[in-house]
Amino acid sequence: MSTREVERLEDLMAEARGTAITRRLPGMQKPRLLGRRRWGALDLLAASAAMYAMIVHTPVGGMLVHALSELLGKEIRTKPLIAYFQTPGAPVAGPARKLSGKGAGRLAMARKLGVDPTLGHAVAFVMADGQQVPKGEFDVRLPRSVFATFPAVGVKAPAPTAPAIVRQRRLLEAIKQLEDRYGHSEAAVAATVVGLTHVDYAVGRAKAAAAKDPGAYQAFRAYLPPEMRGEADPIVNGTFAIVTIHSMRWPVDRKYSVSSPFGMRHHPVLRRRRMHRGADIAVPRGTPVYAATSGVVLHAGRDAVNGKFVKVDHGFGISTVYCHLSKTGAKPGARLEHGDLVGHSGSSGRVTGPHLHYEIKIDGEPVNPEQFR
Amino acid sequence: MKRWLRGALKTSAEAIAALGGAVVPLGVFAVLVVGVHAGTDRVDDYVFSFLNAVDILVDSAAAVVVETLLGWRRGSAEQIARLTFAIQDFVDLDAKHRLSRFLALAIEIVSDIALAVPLFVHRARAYSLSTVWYQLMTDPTVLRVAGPLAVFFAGAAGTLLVAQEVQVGVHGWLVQYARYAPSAEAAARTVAILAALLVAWRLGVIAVRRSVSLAEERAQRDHRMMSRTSKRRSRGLFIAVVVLPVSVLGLFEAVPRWSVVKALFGG
Repeated sequence: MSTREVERLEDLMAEARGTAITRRLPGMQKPRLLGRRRWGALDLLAASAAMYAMIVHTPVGGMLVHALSELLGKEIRTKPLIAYFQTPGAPVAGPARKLSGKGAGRLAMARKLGVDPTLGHAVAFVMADGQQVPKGEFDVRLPRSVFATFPAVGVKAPAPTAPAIVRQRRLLEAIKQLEDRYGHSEAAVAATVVGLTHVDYAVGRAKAAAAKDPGAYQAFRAYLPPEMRGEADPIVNGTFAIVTIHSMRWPVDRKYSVSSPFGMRHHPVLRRRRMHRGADIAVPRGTPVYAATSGVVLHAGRDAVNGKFVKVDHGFGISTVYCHLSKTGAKPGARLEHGDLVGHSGSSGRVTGPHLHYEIKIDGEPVNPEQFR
Repeated sequence: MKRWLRGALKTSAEAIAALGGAVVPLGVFAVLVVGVHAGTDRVDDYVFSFLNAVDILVDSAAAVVVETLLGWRRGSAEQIARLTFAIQDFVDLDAKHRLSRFLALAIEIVSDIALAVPLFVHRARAYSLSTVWYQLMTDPTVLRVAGPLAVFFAGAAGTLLVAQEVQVGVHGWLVQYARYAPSAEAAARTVAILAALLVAWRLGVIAVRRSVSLAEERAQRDHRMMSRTSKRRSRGLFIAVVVLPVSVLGLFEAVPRWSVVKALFGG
């Protein structure tokens, strides 16, 4: 049978079944297969650019790189797949984990050494890779690339032949000059690592893309070259994690005591030992609850156990959760400043009495909030 | 032209053509994957809200069931409270956050499989615009509409993001290695526009043509094989309900970052 006869038979069968007939235009044959193109250099360029973007930015690309590394037997480091998903205001996964750690994480080390959580001390501590940083004035050995930005902001850098050591005061001076230039301390610290030109460009692009806060690292990070992001991430995230965690205030008036602290405890309902991931603060119903420090509201909802809750992301792997509220006006995506009202305490959810359940998480791991009271 | 030079050019052109046969379909796949990821990057927030709502319903139902069952068995208030709490706390806040991100990852991988993988293997046919329009008017199906639209939006988002990555990379290279800082920004911007046009023309057009051809082939095969019109016309609902919104979200995500056009017009 010819093609036309087959098509006519198909139409008759469709008509008999009672289904709609897809009519073809008179004289139309089935369209030809698209011929194999002769690919050129431009096609290769376009495909290479697309594949590069896929490998850098998507979990599928990460999986392909991992498969390739298994095939070749070479270790190629990739991010965890979940790390490709960035919640608003959240940092890149990894650097903050160094700070929380189990045992001597960088943050624990900073607290143990009594690192002054002001910006200068924090950045010196992180750049010096956790070396002993004494209180007061001190000398710190830094990567030589950091000194490249000093002359541009009128600060004297060590000579190329001299040891890469600088007085902490001079580092602070450079950062202060850079803060005046960018209007933001995160851009200033990033500039000390990757240089002024790259940060100027990246902040400019963030402004052109109408970012809410172009000087914030998360806003301009995407516009830094990939290798620069890798260099800047641990320094910026580490520095501001220390500064942020130490700037946190207690969410309610200090006169209220902690009725159930962080750690293993005998659960009042389940009647067995269980990890308590936050601190329960005995407050009467209706007590104002304030944001521990500035951040973005990630979630505001309710569930059967936590009642009305608000989760705030402060960036750099640090988040706080406030549970059992009676009311809250916080909306997801809203920006809260240090000390802004989150809601009022209550007894919503599964509780034995009115209280505030307060959690601090560093890179997803709960820590004892009373350390940062 | 000298014979050896002609020979060398011919050999390199053939090598590029052979390489292109393997690399270009991967490039088409990559553009769509980048565009889909731009959308799913924000999906985990919505997934969390959805999971939380489901959790509230399940917890409420569990409380009623436990109270009823233990009530029949004359259980104490303490037993009821303990069992209810244990069930309700089974999926806690942390678990919901982790689950929302895993679900976003799953949605992305399934969307890539539904959207990009079929195009990778499909041998496209040259359907003309008039033919496609005619078929759509006479036999509209979900797949004929949703498939090409999803590919278009994902491809557009992917093109913009690839161009942005090229812009950033070129600027960084010019500043760092070529020491050509003064005009680096203008040069990077120009290269980015060219990259966007190149990716859209060489890869985007292929993706859209393949998706139209694939949708048409599937619609015609379904027409021959499936007896119920409703079932046939509703095929492709997953793409319409999940993949298409993700692709549109991806384009919204990509567009604000397209600062090159804004900068060109004095933005």
